[in-house]
Amino acid sequence: MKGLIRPLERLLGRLTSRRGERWLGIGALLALAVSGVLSLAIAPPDAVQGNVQRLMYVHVPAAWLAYLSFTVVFIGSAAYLLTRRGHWDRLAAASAEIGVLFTALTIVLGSIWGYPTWGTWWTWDPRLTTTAIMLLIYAGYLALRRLPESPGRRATWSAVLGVVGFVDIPIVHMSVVWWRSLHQPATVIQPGQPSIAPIMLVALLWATLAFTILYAYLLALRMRVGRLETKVISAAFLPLPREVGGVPGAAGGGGSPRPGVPAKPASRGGEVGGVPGAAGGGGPGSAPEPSEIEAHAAGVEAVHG
Amino acid sequence: MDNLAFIVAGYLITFISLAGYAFHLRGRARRASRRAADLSAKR
Repeated sequence: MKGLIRPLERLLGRLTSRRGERWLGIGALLALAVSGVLSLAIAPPDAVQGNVQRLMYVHVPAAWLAYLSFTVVFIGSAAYLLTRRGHWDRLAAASAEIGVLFTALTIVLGSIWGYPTWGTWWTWDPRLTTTAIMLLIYAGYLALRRLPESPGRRATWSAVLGVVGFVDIPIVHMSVVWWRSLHQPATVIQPGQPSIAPIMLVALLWATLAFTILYAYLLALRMRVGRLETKVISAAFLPLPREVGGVPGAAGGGGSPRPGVPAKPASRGGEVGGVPGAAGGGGPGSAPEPSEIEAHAAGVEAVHG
Repeated sequence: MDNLAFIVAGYLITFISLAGYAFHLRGRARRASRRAADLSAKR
């Protein structure tokens, strides 16, 4: 298992580099433009549903990308629990955020398609209900990540939820097979030939490819945000240069002049102000308690969250 | 085109939400980058 993690880390590093991010952005734009032409102009209207079926070229890819996002959350969470490396936690957090967006899009687009086709915006159908549960699980995951806990503990709890929450993904996918459902069964991934016209299949697969490239771009961008914010938080905990000399409270009002009195943030309205002595350089009087450091880290992360 | 309003609404929602999220992330990255540069300049 650990042998598999190293190549994955290399791939992730390449994908989320600045150059990789730029190329993914350009690729996503081009692929989406082609997808728009294919699905709105070239693919014919459905024989039964008419033109409203064109919504499937965004609804189905959004649903597939929601599955992919939460699969990546599962992989990132499992890898974090195995290795305790921060970038796996950042990967899971980034993918969960994007997955929630794609799940919400899936539900909204399905609803817009459902009204002219089924005559209702929403029904408690097994597929719709399990998808709504999936949205709630991962919205809960994002809420858990905002808890003012120590970063390590929060990452562990989130990773456990990321692994356990994944159980819902096969349930959502199989719900149309296991229970009587108004939602149509799979048309592409099914035994035998796909039950869809070839040109419509091409438009659907191209749209899925375009959404996948867009997902990779958003993931790379969100990972960069995570890296930068972690850097800011880490920098906020380092003592300012004048504090390193062991003169507590000497750094521009950042330290505490009296022992045991928590110091005020050094500057910038407390936004990312230094926590003097947090790295052990501010002398005994200015060093805050570990709980204060953790609370501050959570606060900073929430501000930048 | 039948049901044109539904199709336009669906595609617009998709485009606006995905592009909006991408711009939001770019802004967040820019702000975090500026803050990181500020902090390293202070040291």
